[in-house]
Amino acid sequence: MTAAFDVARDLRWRMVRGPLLDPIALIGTGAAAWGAWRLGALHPEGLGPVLAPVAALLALLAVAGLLAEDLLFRRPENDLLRAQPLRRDDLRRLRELEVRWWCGPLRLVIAGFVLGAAGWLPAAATLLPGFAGAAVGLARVARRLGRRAPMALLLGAVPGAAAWALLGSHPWAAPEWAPVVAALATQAAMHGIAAALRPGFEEEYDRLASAAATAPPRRRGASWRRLQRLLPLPPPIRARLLRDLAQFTRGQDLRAAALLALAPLSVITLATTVLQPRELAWASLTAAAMGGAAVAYAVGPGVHVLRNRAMSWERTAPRPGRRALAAALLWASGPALAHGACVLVAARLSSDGLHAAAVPALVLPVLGLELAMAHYVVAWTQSTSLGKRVAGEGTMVFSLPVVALLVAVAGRIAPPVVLLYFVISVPLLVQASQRYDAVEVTW
Amino acid sequence: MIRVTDLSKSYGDVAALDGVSFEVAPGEVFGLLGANGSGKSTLNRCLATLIRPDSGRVEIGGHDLAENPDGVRAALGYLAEYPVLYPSLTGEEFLRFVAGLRGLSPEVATERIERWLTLFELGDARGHAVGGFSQGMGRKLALAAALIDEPPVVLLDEPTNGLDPPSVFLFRQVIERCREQGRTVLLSSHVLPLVQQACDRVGILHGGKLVALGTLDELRERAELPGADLESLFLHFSGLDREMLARLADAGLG
Repeated sequence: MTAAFDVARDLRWRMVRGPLLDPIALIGTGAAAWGAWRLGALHPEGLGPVLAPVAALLALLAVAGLLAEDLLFRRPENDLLRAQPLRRDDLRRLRELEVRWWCGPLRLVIAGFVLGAAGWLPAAATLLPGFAGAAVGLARVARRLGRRAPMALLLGAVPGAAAWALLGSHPWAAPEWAPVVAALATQAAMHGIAAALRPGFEEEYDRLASAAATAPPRRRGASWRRLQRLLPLPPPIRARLLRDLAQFTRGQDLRAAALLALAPLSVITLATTVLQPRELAWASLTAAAMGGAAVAYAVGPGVHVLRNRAMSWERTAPRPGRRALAAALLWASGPALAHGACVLVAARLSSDGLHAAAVPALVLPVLGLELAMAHYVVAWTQSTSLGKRVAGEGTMVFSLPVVALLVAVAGRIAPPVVLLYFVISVPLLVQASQRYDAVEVTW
Repeated sequence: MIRVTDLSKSYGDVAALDGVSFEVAPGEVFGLLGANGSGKSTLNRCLATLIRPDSGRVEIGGHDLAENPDGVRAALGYLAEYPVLYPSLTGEEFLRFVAGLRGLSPEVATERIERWLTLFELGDARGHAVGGFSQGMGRKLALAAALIDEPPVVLLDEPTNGLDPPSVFLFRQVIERCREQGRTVLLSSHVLPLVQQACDRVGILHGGKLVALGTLDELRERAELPGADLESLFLHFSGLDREMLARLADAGLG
């Protein structure tokens, strides 16, 4: 290690720790680990406990490999780091360390999954740090081949293996020690991959990184043009929605992506618990509120700030406040309705379909609650926006549960009353629109 | 047209604009000069409805800025000094985004986008993310976005920053077409030869005040500097000629 390495490591950690230690990210990680634990515990029989740690570690390796490839060959700051007086292997060590940092939450999630499927000893074995070196080695192979196919294949194979392991019928019952041996063997294999692919890394890295830096940028497709024809909306609204879609699908809002990925976990209890008929409505509304909170946060402050980086373009177009709000509400209603549908499907399947007949009565309360929560966060965000940031997010975190509770109670007592929320909240919409029109754009 | 009357804007105790008044007629290209911090960008942002003036009146394209900001927005195209673009969108996608904001139909947007990308030689980069663009490419894209719906009033803040000489030449031709089409152009720039060549009249901002206004000949006459170029006139009216000489003397370079 060199002094330059220490400086680079400290600098990178300062950049990484923000998103990693973000309170929402920590809550999300905890929720995901809990959901994975429940998922893993669904069918812990036969070969499942043996294959669960193997599949989970391979998934971790695939994700870490994609991340390592991105960090080593695609990040613009490599131009800066490669020009610094780092020792030849310092950059590899630095990126390996970063892979370990970034994969921390995922490791907790897979450990939760293995805990549910195979017990605490195999779960502890999955937490060993051998994957980062193997991921860097795989990234080198992928770059040498000019494609990310090996890791993508690995990633694609894992869900299949996990599904087969967990849901299939396996007559052979593995002995108790087998899961921990499987986990340790996979860890040993990853160490082997790392050791085999490390020699000559530095020499080849210079060549590969140079080729990556001079490669022409990837051309992107004409999806915008196609979607323009498909979305029957006024051009100013459609343009904003397509902008949001492009930014989201290109990884500009990772926190939102993580929250949306976590939201379906809220239905696990609903789907896996045997409920009495009178419990179904509250269980469904609870699942809707829990996932709805994740969805609402994903479509609220983060994406608003992301949009406003280039706010002057919107502000110099006619009716900016009203149109930005309309587009933001439309954007938010997509995942909110999708999550609501997910809750309704879980309610339909719960207790082996015993309560199917009661589900139609839940449509309005559940979808109304989901939409109201997303609506509240979007309108609140815009009404307190300072352009490049949102003032007092804490207030929203505390007021959202109150709104959710009131709407849920209304939905339970008399479903059509849910619609009253959208009438009562009109002043908030007016305030949001006016705020957007008045905020001073000085960037 | 643009009509600005007694416009003022302060940031705390600092007066960024102090009673600025001027008019720009349709078909006129008006140059706005000023040192850094003189208030040019604040004036542009006020006219573009991005910040609210403390007092005064602004009329753009026949619309009062305080009473009908949407009318003003519909009438103007604005290129900011540091135009922020979404780095993950491609050049074409960004232009489609702005065209959509301005209410253009997909067919018209396609035709305009083709025209501007071809003119500015951005055709090859249409499918590439804006984050990978050079400064000049980004500036040309932003200029195309500002002009995409052919607005009657155009505000251009430092439009040639980062442009190569052929692009500056193209830009001057674009401004000339705007003049021929009867559009009103307000051009803020530090590039004095460009302003001298492209503009019909010039205003000089200093310390938030408009200290000089007129054609080049009128300014020469007022300054009693016959044959002076725009740089000499700018330094004279902003009082920077004496200040610069004093600074050089202080640095032992006088």
